Amino acid sequence: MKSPAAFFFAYASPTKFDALAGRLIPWFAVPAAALLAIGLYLGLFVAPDDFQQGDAYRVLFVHVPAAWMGMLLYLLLAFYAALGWIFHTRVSSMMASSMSITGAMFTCIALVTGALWGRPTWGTWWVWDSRTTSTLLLLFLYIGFIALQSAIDDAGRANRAGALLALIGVVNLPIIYFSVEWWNTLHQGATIRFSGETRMPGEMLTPLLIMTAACWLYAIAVVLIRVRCEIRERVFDHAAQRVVTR
Amino acid sequence: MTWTELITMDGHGFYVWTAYCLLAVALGAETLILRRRSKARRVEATAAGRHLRDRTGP
Repeated sequence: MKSPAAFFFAYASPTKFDALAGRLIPWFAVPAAALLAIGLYLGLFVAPDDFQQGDAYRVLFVHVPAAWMGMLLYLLLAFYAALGWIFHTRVSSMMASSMSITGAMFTCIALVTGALWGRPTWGTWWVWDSRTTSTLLLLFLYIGFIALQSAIDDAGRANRAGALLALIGVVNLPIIYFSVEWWNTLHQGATIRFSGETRMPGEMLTPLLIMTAACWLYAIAVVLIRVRCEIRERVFDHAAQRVVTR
Repeated sequence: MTWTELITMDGHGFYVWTAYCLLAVALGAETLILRRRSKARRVEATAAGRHLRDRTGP
């Protein structure tokens, strides 16, 4: 059996990765669609009303998975960008740039749905609260990463500059996560914890976890499709250059 | 639960339905854009392969 390092370097080749991604995409895309349908159904029709917020809390089934995805994708983005920087593996840098668009989209969804949830519960669309402000900063980091990669023509330099920005931006992730504990904020504290008891009934927790799984599978499928597109674009560009220089 | 109750959700229908629609539109749009891009790349790659074959021989 191959070691993880051997596996990583074997699939760092764009050609091998392209073939592997092609086989994996349906295994993520189909369950993502099914879980999304189940999660939305359970969230809308099966989960009971909240005794304080009534039906308004149902925004949670979109807001929380989107916010988690925004943070986790940024962490993975920084990880892959660092791998690309250290080992000069093109696929790692392609993975990082592919995650940036999906991550920005999920962060944007989290901010907009947060505003939609804030209006009936807080009485306002937006507050310059530590959690909301640090999440807005995360969106700017994503936008900065995308803009930096697009602004530099040389792929190697673009990847290095992007990696540097991504690694600096990682500092923002613990700030987002612990902001509700470190500062007095309007945003509620963590309901689901990595350690300790979860303060949410099973009927509400199940659709939330299903939606989170659906978003994860969707993100993996979409990132793999985007990486395949990038591989083909670079191969096509390389082939076109070879024809021109002959 | 009646249709009216489902749509209005005790006066919170706008917030809840907008959030769900936003998710559906965002994920749907991203998937559609990627499908088109993926299809375009496939066509280009096939054309490039054919062009290279014509220039260099089999």
